[in-house]
Amino acid sequence: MNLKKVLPLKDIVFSLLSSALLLTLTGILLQVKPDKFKSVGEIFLKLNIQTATANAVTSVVAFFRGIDTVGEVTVLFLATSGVVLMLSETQRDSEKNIAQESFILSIGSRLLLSVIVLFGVYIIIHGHLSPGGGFQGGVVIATAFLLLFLANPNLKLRHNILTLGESLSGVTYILVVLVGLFKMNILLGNFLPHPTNEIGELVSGGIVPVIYILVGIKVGSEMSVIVEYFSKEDYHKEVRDV
Amino acid sequence: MFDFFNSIQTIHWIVIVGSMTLFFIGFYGLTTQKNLIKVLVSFSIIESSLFIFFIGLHYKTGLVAPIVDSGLKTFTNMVDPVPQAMILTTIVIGLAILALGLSFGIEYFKLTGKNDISTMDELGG
Repeated sequence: MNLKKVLPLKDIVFSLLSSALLLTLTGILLQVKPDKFKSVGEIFLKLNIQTATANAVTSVVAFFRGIDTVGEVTVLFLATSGVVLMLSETQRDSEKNIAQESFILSIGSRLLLSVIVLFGVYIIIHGHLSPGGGFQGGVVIATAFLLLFLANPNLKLRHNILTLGESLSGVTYILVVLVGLFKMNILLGNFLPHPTNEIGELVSGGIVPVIYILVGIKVGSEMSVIVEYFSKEDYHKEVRDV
Repeated sequence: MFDFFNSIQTIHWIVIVGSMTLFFIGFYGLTTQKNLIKVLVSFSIIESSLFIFFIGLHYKTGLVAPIVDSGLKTFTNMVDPVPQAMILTTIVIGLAILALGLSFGIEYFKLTGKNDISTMDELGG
């Protein structure tokens, strides 16, 4: 048996090249000693007590680097727009074949929906106290809708409510940033009261939980739309093999 | 004998070797696979290797997660929160890119009926 016939020559060359690159890069990286570096994280940890946020990762995401998060939700919004633009054509076609839905799956998924959404909301509003936050909770809420779409193939989300929630949360985020500019003279100033002795309580941290709740609403609605468009894809179409 | 596994050099060594192996598994898939969906999955594997690499290299023994809890009152002896925040951003962006790429792939398949990247010559390539 010839090895060249089982594996094409290109595959062998590529795997050898990958192995050589792997060894080189690993060798270079193993020389690095990260203990030697001083990092900006130590400064953030020192300043973190002033934000009165128990979770330092949240205060970095939503306060110290909050402008980055504005750009991040913009990227997510653009990606959602692209997905909707690409896949909305096929959704009109697939209205024709109406699938039969199971009674038990339909009722069961509706029962589970409230529990999963409640868990997502819990993760969002405790983002400044425990691991989690707006992005994670938003994706948890989107999984609840994914379950609903898998069990009820004919279900349609009310897109005007989703669009309203998504755009209102985005606009409010920008408004919070600008109000910080006008009241504290810096973008994203923490203008709400945030006494440091209340650290660890649910209402603490000033604007940090507000921003993370807004991010949670935005991510939850956007991910739900993405999940809806991908689960509504016409999977009955015959797939021609490569 | 477990001190050896708890030492920071060993953990960094395991993280570097493991994440780089995962990186080149994805790299191999990216260069050899012809199915568009498999190319995107390889891209996703490369991304996850970078997440493991970043988070793993900033782990240090004896430090805790950067969250003040009932027992802790000050932000000392904690790991660096910045890599975790950056990787949180990267995961979301990676998810957005994957969703957008998959939707482009689905639309291309619907228009032309092929998902083999070596036969994509609509632009005269």
